[in-house]
Amino acid sequence: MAGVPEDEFYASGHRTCQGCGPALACRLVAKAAGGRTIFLGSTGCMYVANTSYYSTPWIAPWMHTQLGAIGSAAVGTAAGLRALMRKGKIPEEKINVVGLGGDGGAMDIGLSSLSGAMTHDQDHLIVLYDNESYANTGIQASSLTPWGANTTFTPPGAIEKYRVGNPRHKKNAAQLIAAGHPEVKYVATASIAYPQDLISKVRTALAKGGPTFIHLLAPCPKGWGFPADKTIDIGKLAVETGMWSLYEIVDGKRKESYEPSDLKPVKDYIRMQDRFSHLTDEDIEKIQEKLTLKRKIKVPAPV
Amino acid sequence: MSQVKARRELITGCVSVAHAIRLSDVDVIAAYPIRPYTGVMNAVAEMLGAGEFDAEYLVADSEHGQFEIGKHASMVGARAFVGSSGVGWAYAMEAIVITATNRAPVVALVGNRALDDPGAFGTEHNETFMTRDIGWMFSWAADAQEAMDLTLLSYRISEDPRVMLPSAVCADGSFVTHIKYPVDIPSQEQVDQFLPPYKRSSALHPDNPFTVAPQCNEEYVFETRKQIDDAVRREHEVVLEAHKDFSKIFDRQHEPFLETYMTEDADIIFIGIGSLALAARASVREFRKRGKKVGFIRIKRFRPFPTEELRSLLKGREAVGVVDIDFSFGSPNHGGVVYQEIRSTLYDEPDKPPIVNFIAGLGGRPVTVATFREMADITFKTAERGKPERDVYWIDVRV
Amino acid sequence: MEKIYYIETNGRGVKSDNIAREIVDTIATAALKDGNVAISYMSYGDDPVRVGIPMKAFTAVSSKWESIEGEVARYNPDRVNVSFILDQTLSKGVENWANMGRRSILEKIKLGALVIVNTTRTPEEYLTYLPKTDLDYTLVTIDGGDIERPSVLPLLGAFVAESSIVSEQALHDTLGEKYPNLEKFVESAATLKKMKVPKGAGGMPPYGPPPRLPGASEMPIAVVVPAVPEKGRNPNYKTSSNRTYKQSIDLDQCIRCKNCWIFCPDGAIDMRGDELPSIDYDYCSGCGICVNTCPVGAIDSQIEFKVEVMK
Repeated sequence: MAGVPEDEFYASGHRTCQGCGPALACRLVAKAAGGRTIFLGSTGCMYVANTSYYSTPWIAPWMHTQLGAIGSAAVGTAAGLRALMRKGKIPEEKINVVGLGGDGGAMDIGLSSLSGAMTHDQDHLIVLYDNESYANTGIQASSLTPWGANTTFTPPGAIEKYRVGNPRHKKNAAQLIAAGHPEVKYVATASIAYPQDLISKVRTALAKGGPTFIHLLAPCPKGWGFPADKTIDIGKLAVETGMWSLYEIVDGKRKESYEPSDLKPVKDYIRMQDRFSHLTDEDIEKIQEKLTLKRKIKVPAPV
Repeated sequence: MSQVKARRELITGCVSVAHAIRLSDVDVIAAYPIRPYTGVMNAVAEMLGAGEFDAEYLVADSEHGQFEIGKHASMVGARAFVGSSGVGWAYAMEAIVITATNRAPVVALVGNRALDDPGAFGTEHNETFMTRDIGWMFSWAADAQEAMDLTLLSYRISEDPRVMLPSAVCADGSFVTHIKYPVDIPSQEQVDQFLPPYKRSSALHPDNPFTVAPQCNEEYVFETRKQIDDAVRREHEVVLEAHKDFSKIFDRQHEPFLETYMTEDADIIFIGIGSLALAARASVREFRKRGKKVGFIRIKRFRPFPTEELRSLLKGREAVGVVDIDFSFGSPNHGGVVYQEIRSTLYDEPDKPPIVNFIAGLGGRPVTVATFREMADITFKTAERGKPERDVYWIDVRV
Repeated sequence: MEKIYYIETNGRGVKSDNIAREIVDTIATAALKDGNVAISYMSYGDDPVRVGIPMKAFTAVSSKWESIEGEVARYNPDRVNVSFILDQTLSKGVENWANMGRRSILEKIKLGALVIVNTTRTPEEYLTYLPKTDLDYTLVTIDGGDIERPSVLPLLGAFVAESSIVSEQALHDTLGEKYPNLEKFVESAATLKKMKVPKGAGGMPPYGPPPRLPGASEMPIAVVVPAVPEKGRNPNYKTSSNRTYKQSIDLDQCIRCKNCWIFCPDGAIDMRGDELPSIDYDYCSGCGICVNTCPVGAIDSQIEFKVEVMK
């Protein structure tokens, strides 16, 4: 496992689901960033599950912040450190600031905070761990939940209007951040199923200072409805079907990290997840068409 | 560090708070515009640009973001300043609540402003009162000088290890924030004598790792509330010490909790908060010329509430008129917030005076000497009758 | 019947929490049909349920509202008359929150309780996995049809055969609203196996008292808790009780690719340098990702009833 550091900074002993994708996300990001880091975590599974109750798996310093505040927490922490170092109140040294926020927190309620964070020349990395729902509250739809997903706010109903489940389409976080924020130094997408790629991207981002952003797909057995032992298989399938793309954006240019030579059909991915079990073959064909078209014009998946 | 010496200038309350921020060597300032507090952030930006002091200054995405930035900066040991007004303070409320429960000694300016809707920029005190229960300290300036002094005092008291809780300095919109007033601006040397550096024992840093605020349940939360209650009970002593030191260096702010104006032999007492004090003092002098022994108490520190001080000052009086620049719809007797707190203060007092409540000045309608005359007539009658004819009067409102 | 009867169901999050809640809700509804009063709820602190993590649900039944009233605003009853164990591997104990340590699956049962376990094993065999207690109780085993997701019908059938908290008719009618075929409910009276367990019996050591929690003056301010030491694991929360299946690595087959180590969300595998992998079973939650990511199939899963060392 070249490029994967041995030490842990997010240790064992957290109240996460068997097979929890976001837990692996925290573990890999913490490995990559190392111990000279202050981690911030907004409310979500990677707060509540990790620390229930009055406990912590974190070896590195970690602080909770509000659901919609991951951007502000990162900026405040970074600005505080910078002011103290410049004024000689604490020793000058590189201390990473890494904010871990979920899809609901970072891209819905926290979009203002996240976008604001991307406008200040402060050194921090925000990692959006995407399990495609508000998972901690029992799986509700966020703006990053894919079309057709079953969540408790978007259960598939008998009447046609509600038949498909989630009627909204997944927002594209990485493109939104990259295209709209000239101050951003680095944007990347990643997946926990490709750990060496993820670790390398975290380190690249931290070396660039900030602000930087990584959108990290973290499959969720409970929310997506697959057996707990299949988390990595699903993560790989997301990339191999084109539903998730791995790339970096630096200086306005996009660089693919891994392009499967032959894409597997989207159906393989969809049919492995119970959250899509109500979708018809026509629905899946629609998803495939939309995906194929988007890939032609190089707008990254997902649909 | 600023080299500016002590001097007197004609400046607004907002600008005087900016001087306090400069002199306190604040490390991180998060700004978001909303009237009438915005002037402080404008002034700070100019001071930074002129090199008068050094800080990280961030224009936030919203008030919520602004207060989150300040809170998190404080958690790494940086001295932080934020502020807002009216609905902006309401928008930040989640962050405001947690700044206290995180024990972050942030100092904020509340430029008191009426809550929307409708939009209006004038003074009202409700936005502050919405956060009165959660562990912030609140002090209220009567004028621009006091706005600066209370800001300096706030850093000192908040950062005391016996306290470690945030403070807000409240400044009435327009009357304190925007009117230029003669202010004595101290020198850096004077402030350095008074204000020690901010030292946080649990500052986030890799040299001393820990986790802040894990998820808790009914097994732990109650104990954290007790910790805050214990700290708040210690504030009284810390406030007294800080004002003693301050008044020695600056010869101001001798009275920490209350301003007492001609109260020694007064039969009738008016109580109020903020800039109405100026009209109150003038009115008291006028009533005394008419032979009425009237006094005025201004509540300077609302949290922690000066219960004992008020109880001993108010007992035995012939009547007390409580002036509320706020509302508390549907409360007991439909009275204002200060009224409720005064009644609660006097509940155990066998010699308690009759109390009448005046809802005045809402939306920034000025409380003037004329307003006080109207309130005084009612309060004098209350003293004669031994109890108010009505519990609550809305003064100077068109019906 | 003026006293209150408490029933608990023990399940695993996402796998059987629905079933746990269905059982208590069904019993409560049947109690209402009998003209009694009842409330039902899931343990609030177990919410949201997480895959594999033990959870509890409860119902309280009484003939008079006055008896139940004082018990409504609670998170858990102190003691239960009936305990369902939906996943037999819960015998190894329950550590569902940090700082509580591993607790006995039988912690809440009172004297004379009825314990109903979803298992094909006999009570005598199952007792070898259970801790010694200081109470007599009745142990019933019944095949729920699936190790992780049993059907409620045989379990409720066993319940009503051995307990009179609700009438069989009421339970039958309640179940009939949802299930067209109640055969498994009816026949379970004949298929269940039971034994009276005397106090002191049980194959595993007894558990100690719950830990003492810190006071306000002992807790650091600002809700600060110490970090895990470097190279350590969180001493306050272990995940062994989440497992239904336990994974083991055949070291002879292992090619040291490090997949199992890197893909473990719990970081439970130790593998420094050229070492062979070793699973720290205190912190393995039994998800099985290692089985799937091992390129040579060197890891397998076995059902696990007990952990060797009770910590």
